[in-house]
Amino acid sequence: MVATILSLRWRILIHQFQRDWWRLLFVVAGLVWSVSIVPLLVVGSQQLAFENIGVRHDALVLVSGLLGAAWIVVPLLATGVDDSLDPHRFAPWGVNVRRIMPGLAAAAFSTVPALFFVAVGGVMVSVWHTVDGAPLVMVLGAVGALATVASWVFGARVAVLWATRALASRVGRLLIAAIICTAVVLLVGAALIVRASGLEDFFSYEVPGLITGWSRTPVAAGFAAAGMLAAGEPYAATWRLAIAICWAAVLYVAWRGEVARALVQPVARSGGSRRISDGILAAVGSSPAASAGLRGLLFSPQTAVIRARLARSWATDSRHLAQLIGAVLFPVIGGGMAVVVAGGAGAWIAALPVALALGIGWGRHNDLAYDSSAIWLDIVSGVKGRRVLMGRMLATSQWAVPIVVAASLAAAAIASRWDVALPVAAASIGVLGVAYGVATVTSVLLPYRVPAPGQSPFGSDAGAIGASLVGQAVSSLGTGVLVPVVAGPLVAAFVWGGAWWAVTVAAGLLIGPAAAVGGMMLAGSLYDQRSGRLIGALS
Amino acid sequence: MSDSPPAITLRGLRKRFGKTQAVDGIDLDIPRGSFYGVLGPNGAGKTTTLSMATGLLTPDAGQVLIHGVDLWRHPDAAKPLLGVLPDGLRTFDRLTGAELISYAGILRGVPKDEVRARRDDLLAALDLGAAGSTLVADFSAGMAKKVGLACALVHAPRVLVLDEPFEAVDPVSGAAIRSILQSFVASGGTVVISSHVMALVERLCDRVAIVGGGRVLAEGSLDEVRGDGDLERRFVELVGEVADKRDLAWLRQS
Repeated sequence: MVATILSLRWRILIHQFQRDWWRLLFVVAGLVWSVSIVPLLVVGSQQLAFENIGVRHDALVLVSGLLGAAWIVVPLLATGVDDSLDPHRFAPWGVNVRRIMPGLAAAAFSTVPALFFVAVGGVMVSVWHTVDGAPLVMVLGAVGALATVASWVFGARVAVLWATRALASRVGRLLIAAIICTAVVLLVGAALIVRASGLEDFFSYEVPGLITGWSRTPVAAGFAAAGMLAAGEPYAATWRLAIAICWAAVLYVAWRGEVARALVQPVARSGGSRRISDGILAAVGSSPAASAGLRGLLFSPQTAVIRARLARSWATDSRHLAQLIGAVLFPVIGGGMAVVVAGGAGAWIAALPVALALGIGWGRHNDLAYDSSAIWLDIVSGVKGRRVLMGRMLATSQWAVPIVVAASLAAAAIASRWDVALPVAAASIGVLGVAYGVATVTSVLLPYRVPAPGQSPFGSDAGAIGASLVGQAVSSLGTGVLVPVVAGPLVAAFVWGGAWWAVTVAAGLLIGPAAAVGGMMLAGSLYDQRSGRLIGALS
Repeated sequence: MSDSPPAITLRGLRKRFGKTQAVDGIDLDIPRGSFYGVLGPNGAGKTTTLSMATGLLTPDAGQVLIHGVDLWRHPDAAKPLLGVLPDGLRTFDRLTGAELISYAGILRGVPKDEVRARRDDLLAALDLGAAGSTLVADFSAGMAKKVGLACALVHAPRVLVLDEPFEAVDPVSGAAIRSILQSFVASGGTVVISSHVMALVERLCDRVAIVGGGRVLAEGSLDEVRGDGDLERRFVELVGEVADKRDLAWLRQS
């Protein structure tokens, strides 16, 4: 079965590359990047090899902790996990979980990231080649590294499957919201404590203690074991290795459980929820006919129902929710780090809501694709593209504008700079508008495939990264060129002050919405021209 | 009446996907008030043709006229005349069946109160009572087909283009749909359906076109196309039988 599944995976990849050959270029680029970074890692590990044992131990624990977190966070918030061997696809064939798991595990380890990180683990272990009894230490280190990489690979799968299941139910969504809120509160609290005690004290007194504690957890114990043996503590090394292996086994069993579930249960789509009231009709105003111009566009019944439909998706569709969480969490985490690094300097705190707005706006560069081929209904109805895209923009604005304004106020509170709250909020709204204006054009011009409705929001087409990179690159370029028009005055205001504060407010509140509407108008025209090609591009 | 243009006119319609010529110069005139069947084997180009005829897929070449209006040049005038049920495409699955019909009605410019009344009529006529409050994500294939048909009907179009409208639909609902469509044609509307079910086409349609390899192989009234035999035999004659009729001896139980 292992050979069958590996062969199946390769065949899927080959067919995808035959269909879209250019995707291969990006896989090759990824391989070249991976290989090119290995010499740097080797040089770094060689230098580390001549540090004292404690430094080596701490460095490996720290790096393994960061990489372990990345293996969980990145698939959930950014790229997803290659779903070419989604267990749901095996459900019709009556395959036993015991037979399929070894094949799925082998396939999970045959991806470029998994192979690359096995190599990284090997390089990290090589820092022990200079200690006494190096062969035994390195063998122990290699076993610990393999167990840790295995826990990363299995952990990513488990996180994605659990998150997918959680986002599909209302209770699960509430649970995720509670976890995120708790994490944000803890992060902000920790950042404030760090700020109060000072960075130097934090790194001198707190970090070593944290690393020692971290090295005893299953997540980092695999890389800590060799260091303990090198330090002459074989019992500590042994139990660290044991918990690392057990942790990988626990995650494998958890993954196996999810696969077994997927093989006998269809994907839950809505939890069987029912709605008595017609939310679509309720969204339509009582005015009989829409007037011409922007007002007509804003208040037309078509715009209203498209906004209502998208608002429902943002509130209940796990794919949209995953995007929303990602768009908000990244800048909040970055902002927490900025607080730590900047120690509360106003200009750095102000970057948080601006970055948040940028992330939300830019992230909509593939917005249309989330409707998949269901947009046939919009297309055959003959609704003008401007109304379609105005409805989409209003649905996004409904949650994006309040979040950006709230973040601006929070930033002002943290920095104790209420005097900059309005300019920061205005600049953030400006950035949101400009980035959204660019993104809405890209979403019509360069859509790429995303998980279809009902599929895992964290799934990623094997090889789809190429298409997404093109869309993201174009959107980034446009955003990078235009955003300084509204963000620049804020920077100038922090540097020179005076009239720049007023310019910032005016630029943000005028240019941002104008850019969003302008982008939407252009995208609407493109939508009308390309409507006969969109379904093919999205499905 | 004779001077009025056909309900749908297709001229020189072509579409290529990579190395595959899916539609290779299709010409058709579908008369007003006809119940028209488009037949063809899998991969014949039926869905591609209907997609181009309804504004869902840009043709490489050719012209589509709906009641004499060029669909691709004047979509604002042509699309309101059409009601469309595509096959194999997704539906907005976070809406209930009732909301989806309302959504289609509002998009088509039907006034809100009229949409509400028509929505309730359609839910009742298509036996979609329970589906009205169920999210589309939880629909069976047959329910999805029926609610899709309701969306195609809600603005009272002049021409209905339905791709496999009876697929996965239960017999009771099928009878209701047949009745609705026959009544629509009797009132002057035009229905175009694609199907693989010959008996259904013979029962419903007064004109048919058999499509194969992206071309029209035969076209005309039902009697003209089937000649002396039945439609299935004529269909097999035109598109050819399975070339390799291999005996699956290993499948026999004894």
